[in-house]
Amino acid sequence: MAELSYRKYEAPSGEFWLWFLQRVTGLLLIALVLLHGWFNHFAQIDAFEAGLQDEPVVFSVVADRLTRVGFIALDLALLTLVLFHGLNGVRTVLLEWRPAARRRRAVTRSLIGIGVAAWVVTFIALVVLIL
Amino acid sequence: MKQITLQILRTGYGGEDDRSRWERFDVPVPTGRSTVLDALIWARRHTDPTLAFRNACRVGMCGTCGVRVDGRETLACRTYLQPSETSGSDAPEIRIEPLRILPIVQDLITDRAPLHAAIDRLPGVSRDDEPASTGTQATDPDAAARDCILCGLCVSACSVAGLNPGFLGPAALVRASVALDARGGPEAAGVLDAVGGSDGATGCHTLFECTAVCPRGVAPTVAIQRLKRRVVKRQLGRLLRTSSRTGG
Repeated sequence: MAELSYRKYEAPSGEFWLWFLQRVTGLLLIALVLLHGWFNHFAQIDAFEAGLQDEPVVFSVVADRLTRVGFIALDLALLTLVLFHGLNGVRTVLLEWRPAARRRRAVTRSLIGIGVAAWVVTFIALVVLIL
Repeated sequence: MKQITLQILRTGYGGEDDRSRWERFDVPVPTGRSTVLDALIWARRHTDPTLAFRNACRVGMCGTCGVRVDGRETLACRTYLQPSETSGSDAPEIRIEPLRILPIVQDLITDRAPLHAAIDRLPGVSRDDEPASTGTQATDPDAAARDCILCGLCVSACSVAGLNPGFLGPAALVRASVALDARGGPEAAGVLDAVGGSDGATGCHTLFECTAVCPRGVAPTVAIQRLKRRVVKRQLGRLLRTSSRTGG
């Protein structure tokens, strides 16, 4: 029998966590996207049918919602999860392309940069809308 | 007599033009139970003695005659020919290529060294200490995994292995799964740390390509899914232990 060695190779644990969080954020996104869809497209239907508002979706109701902490947290969570899940998925696809895989660090940093920039821009837009 | 045409991808003859080329062999098929391996042996014996392929047991036990027939990985000795009464250009044709990913030595012979090297990368997992085959297939994933004969068909069929040269591959991951079933303690931890990244179990896209071609009824995809579950448990346990130590 060949001699056994117990510390020959260890996968970088960061890669495991990116894989694991991709699945967790995917599950969370299902719940949050359903909530988002419900509040934006169906929550006002009763008021519309009762004749309390002219349209099924009214801007003032959406704007009012964005003054509440719970909805702001929901939107920020959705933004963060969408950016992480989407860009991490793009990273996985890119790293299976050999020229990109040879520049793993540059690809990762570029995507983090895109993610942070998109988050900041959207956060500023949200703050402007709330104020 | 019924006849079939083999289009064989030939490689490894050196010279100025060392590219692979397709070569045609017209082969008689004497019985309805003739296999691709029978046809290859006939072609070497009667047409071209330099035609290179590997075979040993002829009954699907050793895994040495793995090739791609019409683009699908299979054991030549377990693939039956479907000839017709027509001959010449009207005869049915099959295309035979070496396995993908593994380096080609010559014609249909591939080098198994990368397959073995992937297993050697796993701490505490050895090619030599596999548990004895149980003869059980498919119904019990653990038992079926032990029937792996390291033929390399799964690695050739695996899209991820084709894209990522560092990927351990289905065969090595099946060995890791079997080793985990047999062992515990620090050895198991070492194996789980080795298969936890994108080069290991979590790199698998669950396409079932390996499972589809396995001649022994092993389901590498199932073994890899079980590995993923174990890796998640280990990493979460490690995280909880670290946070409780930090908190305490």
